[in-house]
Order: sequence, then C-alpha cells, then structure tokens
Amino acid sequence: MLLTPALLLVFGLRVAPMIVAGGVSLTDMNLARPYDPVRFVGVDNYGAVLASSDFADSIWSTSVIIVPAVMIEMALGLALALWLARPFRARRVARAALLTPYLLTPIVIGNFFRMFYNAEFGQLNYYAHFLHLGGGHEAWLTDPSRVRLGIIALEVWHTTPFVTLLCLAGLLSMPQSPLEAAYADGATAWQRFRHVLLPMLAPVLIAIFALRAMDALQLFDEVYVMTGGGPGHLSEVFNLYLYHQGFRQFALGTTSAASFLLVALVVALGLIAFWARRLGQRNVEVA
Amino acid sequence: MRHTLSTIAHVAVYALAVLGSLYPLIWMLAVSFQPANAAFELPPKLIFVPELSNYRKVLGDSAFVSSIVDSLAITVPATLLCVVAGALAGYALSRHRIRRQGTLTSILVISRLVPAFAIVIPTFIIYRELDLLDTRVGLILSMAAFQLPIAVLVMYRIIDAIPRSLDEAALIDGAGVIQLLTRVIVPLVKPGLAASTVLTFVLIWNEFLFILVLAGNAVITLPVTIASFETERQILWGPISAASMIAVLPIILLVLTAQRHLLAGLGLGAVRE
Repeated sequence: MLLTPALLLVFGLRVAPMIVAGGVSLTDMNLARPYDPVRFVGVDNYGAVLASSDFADSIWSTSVIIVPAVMIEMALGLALALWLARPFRARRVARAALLTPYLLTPIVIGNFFRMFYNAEFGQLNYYAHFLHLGGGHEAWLTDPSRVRLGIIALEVWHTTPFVTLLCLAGLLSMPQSPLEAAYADGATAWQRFRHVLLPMLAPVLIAIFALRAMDALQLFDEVYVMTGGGPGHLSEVFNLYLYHQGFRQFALGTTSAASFLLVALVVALGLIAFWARRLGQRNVEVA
Repeated sequence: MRHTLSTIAHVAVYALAVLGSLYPLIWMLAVSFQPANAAFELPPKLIFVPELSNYRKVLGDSAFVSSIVDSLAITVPATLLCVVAGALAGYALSRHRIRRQGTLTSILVISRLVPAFAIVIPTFIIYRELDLLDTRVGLILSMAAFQLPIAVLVMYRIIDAIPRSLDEAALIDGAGVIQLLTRVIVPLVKPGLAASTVLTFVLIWNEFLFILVLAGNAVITLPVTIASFETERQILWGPISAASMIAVLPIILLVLTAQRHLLAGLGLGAVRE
C-alpha cells in the first residue's frame, strides 16, 4: 500500500516507456511522416545504426572525450584528496566550495565556458598569454584540433572536486592501523601508497569510476550550449547524436535502437560497480 | 621549519582548489553587476561600482520571468511528490515483508541508471498521445519519477537504521499506524527527509534534456531559457550572467545553509543529527 505511489511512478514513467522504446526500436516510426502507417522492421534499425558512420563517429567522439576526462578526474581527485586528508580549520568552507561545481546548473557552466574559451575576448587566451603559455587568439571551441581538449578540460573542472570529496570520504573512513604498521616497519611513502592504501581504497575507487563513467556517457547539456556538436561532428557526443537523430531527423525508430545499445553499455558498467561493492564488503569483513 | 613549509603548501593547494571551483561563479557575479560590455574586459574587473542594468533587463523580460515561475512550479511539486513517494516506499521496503523485494530494488536502481534518451523518446511518444507535451503536470510526473530511486534509497537507508523495537513499543502503547508514522518515524527521519529533499530539488532544478524534449513552448524552465539566450548578431554575456546568477541562486543558498544535508544525500556523510 505504501509502495503504491512509488510503483505507479516507476512503472508508469520508467518501465512502461522502456517497453515502448523497445517496441519502437523495431519499427520505422518517423515524426516527419506522421500520417504514414508505422511498419514493423525487425532488427533492421539495429543493423542500420551499427553500420552508420554517424553512430561510429559519435562513439569515437564520446570515447576520446570521456576516457581521458574520467582518467584525469580520478587521478587528480585522488591526489587532491590525499593532499587534503588532514585536519584543517576551514574544512567546512572548503567542502562547500568543492561541492559547488558539481551542483551548479550544467547549462550555466556550459555558457560560462563558452565565454571562457572565446577566441577574441576569452579569459583562457588572456591568462595563457599573461603566463607566456600561448599566443593570441586560439578558437578553443571551433578549432577542430582543440574542441575536444576544451570539453575535456570543462569536464575535469566540473567533476574533479566531487571526486575529491568522494575519495576524501573513503580515506577518512579507512582504518588507520595498517598504514601505521607499514610506517613502523619502515615502508617508504610510495610503498605505503602502493601496497597498503591503494588496495584498501580500490573498491571505493572502482565504485567512483563506474559512477563517473556512467555519468560521463550521458554528457549532453554543456556540449549542447558550447558547440552543439561541432565543428562538423567532432564534439557530437553520444547523447547529442541521439538528439539530432530523434529531433532533427525525427527517426524515432533508429534513435530508440541506438539508445538501447547505450543502455546495454551502461548496464555492463553498473554490474561492474555492483560487483566492486560486493568485493569491497567482503574485504571489510575479512579485515 | 619543515613543518611550517608543509602547512603553507597545504593551505596553498586548498586555496587553489577552492578558488578554482568558485572562479566561474565569482566571474559571473562580477560581470552581472557591471555594464553589458564588461564581459569583454580583460583582465576581468573585480572592483567596480555595481549597477543593476543586466538584472533590470532580464527581469523586465516577461518570457524570463515566466520561466522562473515555471521552474518553481515544476521543481517544488515534483520534489515533494518524489520525496513523499520515496519516503513511503523506503518505509515499506524496510518494515514490511514484500515479495520480490530484491527484484523491486533492482528495477529501481536500474531505472535510474538507464540513459536519459532511452526514456525521453518513448515518454515523448506517450505524452503526445496523452496530450501531456508542454504541460507542467507532464514534467512534474516525469521529473519525480526520474529522481525517485535516489529518494527511495536515501530514505530506506535511514529508516532501516531505526531499531524495530521502537515501532513495537509504540504499537504496544496503543498507537495506530498513522500515529506511529507521524509521532515516531517522521521525527527520527527528519535529517534524511531534508537530505533527499535538497538533493532532489537541485537535480530537478538543473534538468535540461527532459524539458528541452518534452516542453519548450508553453512551459520553459530556466536552463532552457538560458540556453536560448542569444541573438543573431551577438551573445549577450551581461544579461546571460545575470540570468545565470538568478538560476543558481537557490543552489548557492542550499550549499550555504544545507551543506550537511546535501553531502548526506550524496552519500558523503552521516545523515544523523
């Protein structure tokens, strides 16, 4: 009885649409031809999507943007957390500041970075020039060789503070005695990190990684306002590709098929996270 | 000496991380209170006589004001619906024996992880049939369902930590189920309710994709308005900054006043008082 509202919401607005999407993915539904009868086409859409170069391009664009971005976020976030994991008077203020980027409206962030990267008036070029790191007027979002770098940097800025907070929480809830024992045994800082801390923190890190990877796959808002997928298709990440297919080409059948292929990928990542947590719990029990 | 140096280095890194995290906000705040062309000034001016021309401009625009109204009219009811449904479900999952509880929890978790487009496209098709496109009701339901799993999981975690003996004691003392909920459970889960409320509010407030696809003509929220804030010839950075500051104001207020609850909602701290 108490479950009724939640079940209605989840089944009516999450599960039922998924089933509809599965059905639509097997048809040639197209909003541009609203009066034509919708035909059943079997798995043709899946074949068409897998064979299309736009799909392959969007997978590639997404990968070259989010793989480096997530790697840098994880490394930088962990490094910062290790650096910051000690008592500190202004910790509350610092935590509020580190929490802010992750919670800010993504559209606002995208807009800000569009100004930040502007070729003529952008602050990035100004600071780079000021620090003698680069010359004049690089067009970060329209230059094909730079646009992906620009988006990676935005992603890193956006989520590293949050990864830092997650790592800090993991570090602070860890038992201290193994580290102290290693220290007493004369292990170097690197040895303590590599052989004690990292293995103990590994389940937390894998869970953060899976969370970040699933989030990053859904990248949309910021890129939508910054580049709209351009120049060409260079920054057309997966969700932008789906948006263009669905609401510019109006090909809902193929778009549904493509989104299901993404679902498969995300479920795989989710299983990894789940498995990592299990592993983590078992480790804690052993210790 | 070495100790002092390391403390200085430590504080410096902290300061850099804090400043880096807040830089866009500081810049937009500064630009929003200057004349419209201040966005093009390099280095950015941080000392100036504040003026309100950008705010007057955006708040004088009836389309912008109506998007503030739409944002509130969608986020507030959707958050309430989500948290109430989530709390009831969390309680039921913790206290009642439910068949297929594991399956139910998995459906919940998976439904949150499914990429937005796999949901938004069929929702568009269904809403078109039901005449729910471009309506507040449609968006409220859709947003509440989208964030529900987080609310359920946060509430479940908290309610499950309350010892069952408290329930039994209240029932033996003659309390009804309603009294048990309002007098015993709700006071104990207030921090959890606060945590899921503030986090859900922020997530729904920031939502862009669903609203772009399912609405955008009659109903427009702040993120969609801000995304379309440019003219053919030039981008109006001054007014955009003012509009952005208005859009993120509730988030900043929540970070300042309910930081603990936000961290708890994100799983980054204890939810107890």
